[in-house]
Amino acid sequence: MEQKKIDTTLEDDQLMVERLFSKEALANYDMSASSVPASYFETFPEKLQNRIANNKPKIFFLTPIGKMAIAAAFILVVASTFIFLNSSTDNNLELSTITINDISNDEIEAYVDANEWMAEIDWQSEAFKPDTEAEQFYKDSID
Amino acid sequence: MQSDQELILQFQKSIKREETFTQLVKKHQAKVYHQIKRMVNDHEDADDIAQMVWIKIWNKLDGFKMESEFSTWLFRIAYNETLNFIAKQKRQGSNTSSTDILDYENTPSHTDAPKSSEIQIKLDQGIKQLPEKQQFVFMLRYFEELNYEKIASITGTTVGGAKANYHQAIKKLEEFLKKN
Repeated sequence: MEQKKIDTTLEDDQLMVERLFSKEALANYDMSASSVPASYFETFPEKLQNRIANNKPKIFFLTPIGKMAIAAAFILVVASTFIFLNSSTDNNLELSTITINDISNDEIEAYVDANEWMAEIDWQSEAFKPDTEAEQFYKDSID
Repeated sequence: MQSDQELILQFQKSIKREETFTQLVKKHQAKVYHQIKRMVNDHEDADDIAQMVWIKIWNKLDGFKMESEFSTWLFRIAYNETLNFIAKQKRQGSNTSSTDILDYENTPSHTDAPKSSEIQIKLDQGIKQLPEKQQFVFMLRYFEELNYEKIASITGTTVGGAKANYHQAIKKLEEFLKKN
């Protein structure tokens, strides 16, 4: 019943167009509008499959040996990083525990000789620095 | 011949996927191509769009839940791809736009088709001046003889909207004929 109703409506809709243009003109229009080169549909599925095959993303499935190799490389990198970080921390500890007794006299003398003039400047600037507190005290005592 | 549903289930179960898909293509390729070709006029363009449509189907068929008919889903993808193509062509200002008049006399497989007449040229011009959605609805209704429920699903509108599109298209064709 419903199908009949739909068909009737379809006929009505088609008649509306056929009143404007002849049925023949419409058929010819569609023949031209939807025309296909010879044997197009015979070759289309194969052409499509080739295009799909070319578009497929390539997925590499790892063999068990490959998976183990990747895991071993990862562990190696992590272990190397851990060892490297630990060894550099130990060096810092060594440096921090050096005392004055561990340095030889020659090394100390060489350091002092090299920095003597710097030490002189530092001493002079300290010696001749105006003593503001003393000056203030002097001023207050005069007043 | 197996039904769409059977073929899709086989595909989803990975049973001879390529073979099953080819059967689906063979079943529906002509209707999809014709609908696209009516919209873009050029065979190369229609072929390219049709391939894109089927590649999308291939990629998404595993997730198809069969809540709608396969052909409705297929036409909906074809509709979207065709509109995207036309919009892209318009942006690029291509010369091979869908406003070109059909070459009735030199159509490859129909060299024996009737020669172009004034009414056919007017019909072609009249259809091409319609907005794309109205064109698509007109073709689906008149040439593919689909019901409005299906047209509404394909074009993503309501049944009332699909009817309105068809009737607007006829009104515009009538006006076009009066003017020309």
